[in-house]
Amino acid sequence: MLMKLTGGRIYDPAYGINGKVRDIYVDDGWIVEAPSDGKVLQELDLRGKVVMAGAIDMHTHIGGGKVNIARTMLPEDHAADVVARTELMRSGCGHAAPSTLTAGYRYAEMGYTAGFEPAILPSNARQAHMEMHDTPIIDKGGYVMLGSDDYLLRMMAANNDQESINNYVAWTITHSQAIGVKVVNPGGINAFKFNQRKLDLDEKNSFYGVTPREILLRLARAVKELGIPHPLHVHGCNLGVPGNMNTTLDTMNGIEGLPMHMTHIQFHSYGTEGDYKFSSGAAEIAEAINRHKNITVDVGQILFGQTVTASGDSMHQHAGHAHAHPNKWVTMDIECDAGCGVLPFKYKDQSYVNALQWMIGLETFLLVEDPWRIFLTTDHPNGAPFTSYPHLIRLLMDKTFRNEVLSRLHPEAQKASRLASIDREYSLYEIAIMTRAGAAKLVGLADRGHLGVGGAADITVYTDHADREKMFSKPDYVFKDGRIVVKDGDLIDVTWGTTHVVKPDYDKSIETSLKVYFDKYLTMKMGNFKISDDEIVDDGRGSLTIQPLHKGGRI
Amino acid sequence: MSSLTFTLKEVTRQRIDCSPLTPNKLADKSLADIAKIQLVTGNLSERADALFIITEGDSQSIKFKGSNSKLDFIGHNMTKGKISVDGDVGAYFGIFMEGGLLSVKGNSFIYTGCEMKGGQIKVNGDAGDFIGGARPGRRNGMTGGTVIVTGNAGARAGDHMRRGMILIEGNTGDYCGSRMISGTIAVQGDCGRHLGYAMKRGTILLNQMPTRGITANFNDCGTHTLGYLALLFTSFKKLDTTFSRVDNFSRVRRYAGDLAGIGMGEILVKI
Repeated sequence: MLMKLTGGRIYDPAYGINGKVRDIYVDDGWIVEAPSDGKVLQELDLRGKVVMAGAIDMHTHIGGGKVNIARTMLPEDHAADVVARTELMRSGCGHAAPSTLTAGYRYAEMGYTAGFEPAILPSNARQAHMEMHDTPIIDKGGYVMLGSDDYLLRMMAANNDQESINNYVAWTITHSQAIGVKVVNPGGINAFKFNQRKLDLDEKNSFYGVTPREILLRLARAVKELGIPHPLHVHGCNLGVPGNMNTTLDTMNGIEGLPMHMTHIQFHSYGTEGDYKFSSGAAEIAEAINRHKNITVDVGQILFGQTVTASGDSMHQHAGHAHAHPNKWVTMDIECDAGCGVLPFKYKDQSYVNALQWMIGLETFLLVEDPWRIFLTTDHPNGAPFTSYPHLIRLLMDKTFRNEVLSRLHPEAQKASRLASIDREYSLYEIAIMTRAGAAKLVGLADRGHLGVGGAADITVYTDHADREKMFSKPDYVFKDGRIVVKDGDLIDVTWGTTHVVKPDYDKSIETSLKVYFDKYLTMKMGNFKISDDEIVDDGRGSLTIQPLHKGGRI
Repeated sequence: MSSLTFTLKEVTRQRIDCSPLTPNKLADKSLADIAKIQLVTGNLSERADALFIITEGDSQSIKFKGSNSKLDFIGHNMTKGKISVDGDVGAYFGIFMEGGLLSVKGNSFIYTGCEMKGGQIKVNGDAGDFIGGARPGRRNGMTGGTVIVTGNAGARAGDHMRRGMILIEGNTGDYCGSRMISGTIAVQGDCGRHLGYAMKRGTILLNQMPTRGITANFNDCGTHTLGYLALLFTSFKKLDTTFSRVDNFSRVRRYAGDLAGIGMGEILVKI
């Protein structure tokens, strides 16, 4: 059914369109050319409205083992936020760790049409996909976690060539149905099991003798050589440790110009100056990001209130367990091949450290010049639940509001930060880059994040409101694949999004040695490990979208 | 003035949430208003007068008649007044209670006195598992008040208990005092397995050595004469329980544990 969206003000950075009034035509889930005969079946008057592509959250923990642990561990989170069933929606609950269905509904209600789970453990990938499969409306996908798995470390200890590592990466990404590769505390999760409680960039794993720097280089090279569009997604060493900004700068320098995405950079930008031995390293980090064009970052902004931190980084979750609020936490091994830690946390505005974390995040946002290389995340739920994005957007777009919130925070922290002196305000165009065009480009989604002909009709329509929080929390319309799913901020239709993957080529001979390894060391057989396409498609509710690889990808 | 009485019309198939029927919530309400109160039963809600025959009386002294083990949340959050029940009660009897008096002539189901803060609960019968416990995933069980059970208690009596007193005149099930943070549990009868499992602090006072013994996680600290026990028994005197008639003793064998944790709890056995 051909539909015309008339007269909206379009923000489509993928085509450089900054607030131009244009019509959009939608047919059968796709954006199409204006019909030659001018006939349309339905017309929607969007004059005066702001039109953007559907937003994309490129780093959000919405599926997989650790989210489920968080759900199980926090019944109070669920009891305090109960959503009753309606004619349309199924019941759900949860603020920091919402149930799958509720997560999908809430994302759509904010104008988000895709979310990517950043830490799919290979051995837990099926569970993650099943949870995402149960998350309605939004498109999903995930980055598979490598770097602390014994198979890779064995290969590196044996000094195998890059080609065999490429093969292994391609095999894992294909059979865990992922769209990218994530590395969490490179080698550190493994080192933790050998009783190492910290692992610096050049510190050797006491068993394998491999350093994080080597792991990052090998994996970043593999991702590049395989032509996977999403650069290596890195959760660096020393998360949350004061003084870790030096490690972060070393990591950027040490990657030798290879593309790398450094995630929740806020947690990696801490100095050790001042009376509290905790200071902001945002300026140096932002300067380094501006200089290194191969680096992209997402911020992992914290916002005040109760949340839960869930991470594969068992080493640093264990180190932080004394801060658990409420006082309960989990650090565990996963299938003898990975780790995870879940720690409920309350960020307090009158805590020096938390207040400064808030400022460090915002400083990073405001000091990184290129919005194509920085992305809006709270590392849901680690910094704050994703439902706080509209508030975060207002903080970025409204200096008066930002400084007003700032003036209420811990006074010593205010003195330690230069945030108040930064005048920059994000424009709608820049927000559209961060949350749409840039994110789609970064993840490698050819058909999303833009409003050009041939793109999927994931469209969000807002009323231009001076209060950006209001504007971004209640879109007028949200289209998912051409269907109106949200009207005036309320869900009116439930659809099921697709799962985005890449399928790099690999040499089948790798399975011979992998099979032996699986049989001997892992908790399942290699045949069971592989997730088939049919499992994602299921009964037709799910679907698989294979995104193109960069040209020149090779084994 | 006689009590405000709720007589159950018939045994329902589904459980009934009775949390709105407490002295606090019914104070100053007319009979007609009370009849209109919606009670959740299964996945429906029904008017109170559809489920109960309501007899006018003092809302500060409520009676349930013909009750059975499907009536949940009786005495929810109450801070004053009195509720007495004829028959069994369901789960969460006296949950979040802060004051007043609850009594039942019959058995209570799981989570009696769950996370209560004050007041007194008397069960003239057996009580289910998790007396004075914390809801699943919560860190603190009861933080004050007294629970008296004339019969036997189920498993995990005093789970996560933080303050207050649980007096059990009969036997207890397994894991009595498990994960106890503090407070006092006194038992006249026998105890099940794993007494004081993961106990941090607090006191479990026993009239006799449990037939299944005390686990190796507790260290035998020898015999003691503890002066404070006399004070404890004096405090029992004003309570409506056979503990008020127990002969004072202050000679006990003391076991400290659970040594798998901080080991500051104690099991005191009369000698």
